[in-house]
Amino acid sequence: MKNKQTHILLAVFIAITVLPILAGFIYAALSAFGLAGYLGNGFTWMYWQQAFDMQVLPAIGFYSLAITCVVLFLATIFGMFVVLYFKEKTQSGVLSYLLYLPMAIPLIAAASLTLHFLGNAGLLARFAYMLNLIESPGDFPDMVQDKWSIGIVITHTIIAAAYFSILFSAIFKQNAIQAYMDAAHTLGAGKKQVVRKIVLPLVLNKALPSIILYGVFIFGSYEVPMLLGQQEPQMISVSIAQKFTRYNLADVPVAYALASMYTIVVVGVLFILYKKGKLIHEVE
Amino acid sequence: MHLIAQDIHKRFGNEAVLQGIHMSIQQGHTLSILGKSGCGKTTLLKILAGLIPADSGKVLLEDIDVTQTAPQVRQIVYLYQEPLLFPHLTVFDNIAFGLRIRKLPEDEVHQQTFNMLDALGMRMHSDKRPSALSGGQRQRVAFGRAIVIKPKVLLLDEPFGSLDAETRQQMQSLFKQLVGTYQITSVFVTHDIKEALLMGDHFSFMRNGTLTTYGDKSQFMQDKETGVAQELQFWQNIV
Repeated sequence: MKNKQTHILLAVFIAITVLPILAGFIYAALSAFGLAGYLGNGFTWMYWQQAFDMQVLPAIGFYSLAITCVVLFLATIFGMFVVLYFKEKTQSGVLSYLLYLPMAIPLIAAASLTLHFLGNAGLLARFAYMLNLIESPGDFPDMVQDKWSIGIVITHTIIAAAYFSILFSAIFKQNAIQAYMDAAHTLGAGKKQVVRKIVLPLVLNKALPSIILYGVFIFGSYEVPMLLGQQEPQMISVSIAQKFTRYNLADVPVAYALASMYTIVVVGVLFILYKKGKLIHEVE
Repeated sequence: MHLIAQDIHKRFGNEAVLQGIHMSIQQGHTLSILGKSGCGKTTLLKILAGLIPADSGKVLLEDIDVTQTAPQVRQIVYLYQEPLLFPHLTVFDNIAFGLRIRKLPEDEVHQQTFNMLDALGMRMHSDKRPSALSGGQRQRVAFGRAIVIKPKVLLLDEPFGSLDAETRQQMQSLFKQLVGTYQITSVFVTHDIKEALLMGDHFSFMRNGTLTTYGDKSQFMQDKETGVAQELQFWQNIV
């Protein structure tokens, strides 16, 4: 009886969560192959070839991946520094509340704040102008909608660093990392050796699934690159969204092709994560 | 004297955890410290290891003041109740950890590590992760990891507290054998009267942040505060 109930609940869960997404993915793939939608005139590779021929996919793929890797790298360093330097203060007191603050700000609001702070007409530019560091606010170096994507990286890094600090702090507490550090110290390991040989492997091994999931989130982020990114190259979500909203209907199946590929990549990452999760479980 | 603690004081907030601790140990001897939970035993060991600073007082090792010396250069190893084997390393790598930190040649690391694994009876488990070992085996490896670097002092904080009675007995024998073989100077902290008597060459009793050291075993046993006399009386009544 209980078994039957479990199966029914599982079926309902799949019907609500998996089926709509799967149906959407199938429709997107069929549209990209010319088998559905306004331009569904029979099977074709044309829309996939357009995505590749224009080098759109490689450009936005590498660009999105590069932004993701830089943000994860910076946020990991920052999060690790906060936890190692402040230790218990990240688990209680003012700092523990402050760390939640960046995550409470909606991404679109965070992106606008960055725009108003770092833009050519922003607060920092005006401040530099007031101090006679630049001749006009327009002389302020480009940090939003710039070729190095500084605004995107800063905005994402601030939020990711706060999240990673909380994540690492919880791992520190739950896994008695301080006790391992003390043990390594009395065995003769210096501070840098303890961080390199004990803290990083222990914490990153535990945090890896969350870090990768956060990477998937940054990889597919929309609001921040939409406001702070340049026209070319674009991050993947911005590029797909623009193709969907253009007047040229022929762009829609291309957008579906990109969205399908993006979904396949994300599902692939989640599958690897699932396997990795199993491996971590076996080691423990 | 090999290790000396002079007038150690430590407070946490308003609570005075250690109130003028004096102690000394000769080279190759074991000092048993008996005390209930919360009496300051762990704080004392952590100060001796350099893991937390004392508010006042001195720690002398081989007549050198090491009070301000960092834990990694003191050569005083602190063993917890939990073995704290590094979970991402194999048994071999755990034992070799301290040797590799000291940048010994790899062939020497292998030789010393395998010798220690043989002494512990753990050679067949050398490639296993700590999670694949029993509680007693983990504690053996923790001993090996500490002793292989030939520390000047070994501090043991209720190391067998989480083991079952039989394994505990085996580990007590192994400890006695290892400290004898390697001439280790050690401080053994426990709340178990029998274990304190079995492990120590000298005996102290800790209560409310103060330490009483006894001239010999009989003085330790006769002091009513230690509870040894009551324990003996209990067993005599049963017999």
